[in-house]
Amino acid sequence: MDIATAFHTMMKGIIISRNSAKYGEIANFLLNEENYIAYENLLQELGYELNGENGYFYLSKSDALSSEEIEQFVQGHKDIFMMISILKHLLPHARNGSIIRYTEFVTAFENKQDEHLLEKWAYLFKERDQKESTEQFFKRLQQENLIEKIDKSDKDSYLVLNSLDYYLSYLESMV
Amino acid sequence: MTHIELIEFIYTHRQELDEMYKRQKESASEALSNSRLVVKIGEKVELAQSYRNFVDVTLNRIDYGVIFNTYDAELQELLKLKSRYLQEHKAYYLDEILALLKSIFLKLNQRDQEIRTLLIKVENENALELDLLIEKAMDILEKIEELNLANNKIREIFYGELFTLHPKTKSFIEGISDEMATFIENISVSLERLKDFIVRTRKLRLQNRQLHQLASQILEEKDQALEEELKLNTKNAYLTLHRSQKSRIKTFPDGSESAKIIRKLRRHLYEVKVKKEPKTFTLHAQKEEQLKLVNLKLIEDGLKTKGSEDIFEYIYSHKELRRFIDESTDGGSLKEESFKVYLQFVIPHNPHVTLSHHYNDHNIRIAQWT
Repeated sequence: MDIATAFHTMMKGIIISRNSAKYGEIANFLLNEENYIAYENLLQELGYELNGENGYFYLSKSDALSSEEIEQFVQGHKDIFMMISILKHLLPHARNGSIIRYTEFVTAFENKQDEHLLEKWAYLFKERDQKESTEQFFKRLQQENLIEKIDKSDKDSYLVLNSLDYYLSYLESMV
Repeated sequence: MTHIELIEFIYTHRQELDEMYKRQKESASEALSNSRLVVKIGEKVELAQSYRNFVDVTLNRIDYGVIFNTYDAELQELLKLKSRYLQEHKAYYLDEILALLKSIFLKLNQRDQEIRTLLIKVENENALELDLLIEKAMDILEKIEELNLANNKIREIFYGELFTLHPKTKSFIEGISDEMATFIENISVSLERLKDFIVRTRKLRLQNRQLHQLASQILEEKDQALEEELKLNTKNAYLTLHRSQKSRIKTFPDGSESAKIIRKLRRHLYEVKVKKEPKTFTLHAQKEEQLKLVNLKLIEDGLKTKGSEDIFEYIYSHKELRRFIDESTDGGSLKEESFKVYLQFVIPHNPHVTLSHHYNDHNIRIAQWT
């Protein structure tokens, strides 16, 4: 593991969670203070910031974002807040480090269908096919690095990653 | 019926008993109905509580409704027996005291196991709504606190009233003192764990409510507070370079450049690692390496002579780069190769190079050569 590999991953906008099996090696690398400082200095030369919060790391831009970037950033975050809201609506115990199951999610969706949930779902998905949109929902959660599969052979179980706290920290600062 | 016959009877009726234990069945065969393993409640037949308790305790299972009795009755009985023993000095009372001490100790042992099992159960609970879970946890907390007080009372009576009563009571209490200390320590740890759990779960409930509220605001387009919060400190916002590209917002660097950037960074990092030996970490060494690709010296000389308001732009429009691209078989773009050269000048410390906070048309940070 080296800084170049870490940058190669993080420049894609990936939040590195300490509890991720996929990116845990990068997290461990950055937990070393010497590595962190060397990386931070190099990034600042290139115009980026290295952020290390409780259990996760990510890159940000030193300079202000352009108006287009802000617009996209805001909309992207709204979508993710909506996804987390749906996830917690159906699986209220989900938090970083917990295991969630696709089948439990589907069952909870069928049992708890209320108007508000359907409105939230419609905000994200236009498809009428519930199975397809649920698959998309889980795929998106993985793309946003909020969850990851525990085992490739297990299609049902996912680990909730520490990056969830990045979004929840906004809630705290909004109170 | 002997003990061994009872075991055989249970084995014979294992399927029925298991279904009744799982509450999947409310009737029983005649032989089972006539045994004391079940009780009839109206038309229904259920497992006897004593059997269910035996199974739960043996399998370390526990229900939230478990009642943690305190030991008041047993302690009162102990004091009464002590008083009689002191008056009459009959061995019978001493035996009764020892039996009761043992019984209380076994109950403490059982409570210890039950509490630990209950904590694991409550901490891993996913089926209950959070409101109900917090309520359950508060109930358990109250029970454990009561039990903690009861344990202290037991210790007072064991050591204050019975320890010196007779060598046998002294020996018994000494024999269980380590375990007693462990039970008390465990209860203290359990109390802390449970309090932490309640705090965490309350926080989780609050977050869920806030998320619910936030989602409503987004749906109703009344989410100005969120937008303001997100825009407030975008410096702390994580980069979304790839998504930017999908939306055709040019940001630096683009995906096609990433592999080359990584290669470049690796090269620099290698040099950073050996910078303790200054001779190996010189611009000269880098130039020699790059001469195989681009005549860096030519560009550097130009920069030294004329200076530049934007090093990247200077390199990008330099004839040397165009020559290199024309002759190169690597297939790299002009922007890619210009960026590689740009890094050569920007990353190593150079007093002539100043990085500004602005980005040029290529979305690359502007660096000046002065």
